Amino acid sequence: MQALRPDPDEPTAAEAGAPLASAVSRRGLLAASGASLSALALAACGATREEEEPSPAQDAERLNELLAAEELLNNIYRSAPQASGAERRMIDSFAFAAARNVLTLREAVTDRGAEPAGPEEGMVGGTGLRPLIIGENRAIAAGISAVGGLTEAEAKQLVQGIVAGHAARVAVLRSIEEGDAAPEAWVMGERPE
Amino acid sequence: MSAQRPHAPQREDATTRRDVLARGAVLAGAAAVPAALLAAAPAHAQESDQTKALERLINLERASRYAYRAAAEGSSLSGEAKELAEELAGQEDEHATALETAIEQLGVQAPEESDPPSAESAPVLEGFDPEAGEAELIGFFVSLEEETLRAYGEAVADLTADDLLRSAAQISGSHAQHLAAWRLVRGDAPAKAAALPGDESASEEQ
Repeated sequence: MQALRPDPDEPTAAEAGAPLASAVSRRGLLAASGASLSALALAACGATREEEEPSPAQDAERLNELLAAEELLNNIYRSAPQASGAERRMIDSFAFAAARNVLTLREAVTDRGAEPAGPEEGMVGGTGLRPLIIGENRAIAAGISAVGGLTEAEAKQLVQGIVAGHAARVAVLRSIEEGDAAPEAWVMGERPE
Repeated sequence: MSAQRPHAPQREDATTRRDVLARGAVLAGAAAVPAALLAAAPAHAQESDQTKALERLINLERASRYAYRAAAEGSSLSGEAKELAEELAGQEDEHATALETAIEQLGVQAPEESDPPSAESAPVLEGFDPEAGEAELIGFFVSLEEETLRAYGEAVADLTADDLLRSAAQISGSHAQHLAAWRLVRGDAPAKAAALPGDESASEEQ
């Protein structure tokens, strides 16, 4: 989709954290500025990544980016707030998912011949469920960043599944804290400040 | 579900953009190219596993948009469920429009659209009745979102463009949130509401 970039130094929609929908307007701008359809088509050809050979080493690097965020999230759940009843069971279930992601990603990185990453640096503040929401959102952002550039189908499916799991947990946590489970069409997470 | 939910995007905007694209392609082609070549045009472009995956996702997003709109405009849903259907119709429209744009950028025309979607393009709508009872409709939407998540899980294996991979992950995340939202409206416990299809460990507590 780099065809939409009039300036090679301009970040792509995804790099800038914007979805494809935002890129539509850029295409409109390009068209309005007189760029020819044939030029756009040629640019699109160049922007489509060729069927490249799977690269376990490259994928391990990407998976490690996500693993660092998962390790941090796992630590956040270890100091999750006291709760009881359904909320306690929810936190336990979400903590289990976070720990499972760490194990799965460590194994995936090791299988590709690399050393698993440690936790991402940084503190997460807030009270109540807020730190969990922040940690889940950071993992979403890391997953979305990591998935672009993966070469193996298995790795792509793994990361997309992990992102979807975080998104579902954010929806539930947010419904408790803020009331709205699914307010946006594009789930992008949050980068550390 | 709070009252803070933003309004769904204006349907007219998205529809107009898509209509313009579709009409432009049809009119330009119809004026200059014999019908037999028109039919062959997509294959003549850059059909690939990636564009085939996009076609499946576009059909699914359109089917979801149709179902949510029909249910929101019907009389079976009320309150929180009606509000959610209205909002998700707008989100599905955003997804469909973006994917249609993406496939066209890859040189392939988006699949033909009909209203209502054809059974061939939207098998997921089999059994959908917008006038069914509220509980039945909510159950349908839970199944629809589960099916959509499975479809994205399969499609991502065929995507190769980095931006498409990221966008598919963002949209898939959105559908995971739709699924959780419907389960919460249904009254599911929080842990079960967040469980994805095939994720048995998270749904043990009920």
